[in-house]
Amino acid sequence: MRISRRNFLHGMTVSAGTLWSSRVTGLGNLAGRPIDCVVFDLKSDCVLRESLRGYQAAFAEEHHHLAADRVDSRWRCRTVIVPGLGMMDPAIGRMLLDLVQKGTRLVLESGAGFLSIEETAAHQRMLLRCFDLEVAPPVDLWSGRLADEGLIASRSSPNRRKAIDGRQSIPYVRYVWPRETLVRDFTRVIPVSAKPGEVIGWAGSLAVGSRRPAGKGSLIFLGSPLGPALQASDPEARSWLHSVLAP
Amino acid sequence: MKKSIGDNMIPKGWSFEQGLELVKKAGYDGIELWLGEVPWFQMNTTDAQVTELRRKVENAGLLVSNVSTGLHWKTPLSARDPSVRAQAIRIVERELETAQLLGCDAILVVTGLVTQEIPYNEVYQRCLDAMRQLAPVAARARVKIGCENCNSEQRFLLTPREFWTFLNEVDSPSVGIHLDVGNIHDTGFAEQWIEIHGPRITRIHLKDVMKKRGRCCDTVYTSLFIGDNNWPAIRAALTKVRYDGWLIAEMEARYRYAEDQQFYDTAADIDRLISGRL
Repeated sequence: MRISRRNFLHGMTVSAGTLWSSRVTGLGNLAGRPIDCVVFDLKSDCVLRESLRGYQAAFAEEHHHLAADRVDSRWRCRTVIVPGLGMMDPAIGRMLLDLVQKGTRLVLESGAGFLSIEETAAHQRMLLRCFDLEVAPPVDLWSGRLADEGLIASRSSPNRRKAIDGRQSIPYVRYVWPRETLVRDFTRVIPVSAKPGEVIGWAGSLAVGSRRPAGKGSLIFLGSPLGPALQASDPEARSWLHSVLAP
Repeated sequence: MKKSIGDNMIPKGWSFEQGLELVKKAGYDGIELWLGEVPWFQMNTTDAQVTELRRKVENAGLLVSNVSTGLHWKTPLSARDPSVRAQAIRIVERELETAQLLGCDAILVVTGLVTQEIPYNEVYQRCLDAMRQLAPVAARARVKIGCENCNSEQRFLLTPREFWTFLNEVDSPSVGIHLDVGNIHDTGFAEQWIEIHGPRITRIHLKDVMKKRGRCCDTVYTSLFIGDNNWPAIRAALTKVRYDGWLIAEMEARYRYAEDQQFYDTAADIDRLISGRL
């Protein structure tokens, strides 16, 4: 998937997107009181739309659909989740950082796993510039492991046969904060540089999730998308997300 | 019921016109066109060229029974990469467009692939989303999408009731099942799939299967009547549900020699099936 310069500029100059808000545990509402959780739709800069839908599904019971122009750094908001992040308007990045400084927990979920090399480089630069997050290009966890290719190839081309590779893999990201949980990987992960105590998720030996304090709030980075697992009704993914959102 | 056979069965090196002549001589009523699998029908084949294919089919005294594709094995609707999914959707849209141009009202779609990498629940949700997105397009085109049961290879929608639930959730008269009676292997019985899906069956693929062989290096599929399908029961089920549509030969195990002979033999087998003399 390519993010064109035109789309990028559109994202910078038009709207910040749409907000979904959820009161997970009966906390405040949008009428002046603190908002508990907001799922932030970056529109064309959200490069994994199914991830956004996953978060919306996870919060299906209680949510509000807010207009983009209501996004405001004066808000008091416990958690902001940015699903499937590709690029981000620097102004939005600054606004989100303002929120973090005042106490918001910001969850940035990278959607860069399937971007082109150029787009990934832009994604890396954006994360470093806006959030001081240093991430690596995507790592394909399944490269060379597709035991199913034999069947599929034989089906689509009757004359070609491949031996099935019987190697086993462990297809999970292991989260270690706020509690130990295994959630399905999403084929490609974005490794993140973090101090040992800040790593919250591992794909094998790769750190793919981090959490660090910032101002009165904190910044959580997810290098393996959680939203698709949420949309697939993965109970561990939902339960882990709710643990993250707990006060 | 009418007989058809895929144009991907036409022996290599033969032209489309030669293939049509063979299909007609062997006694078929129509031909199934496989998008992306034969030189004359590719994604970049223009509308004008597709219309010309229709003219050739009709000049040969045949009809196009349906449009199928194997492109979704490599470009699945269930892919994690959104750009691959977009391509997969475009393939279905092109099937719908060409079906209209070819004067037929059904297409075959391989809905999704469960793999070690991409688990069942993800595949289910993406396929549901895709079919819900495509159903209105199909309705406007007046062409039905038949999701094929590729049970063993897809590892998806493995039982007839599960398939029924999926179609219920899609909830569109434009999306049904393209039932392949050879694909059920040892996880069930084709006649029960026919009974359960009845009016939702858009087309039927015919082949036989050797259930005990398993699926490893050699195909489990074989010519009609020499495998393990219960053909009298299948014929009875077709009568029970009043299926009167196309029966399309999909012979994955090809003759090694005298390839054209397979067309004649299979046509004769289908005639016997239709007649009920089994």
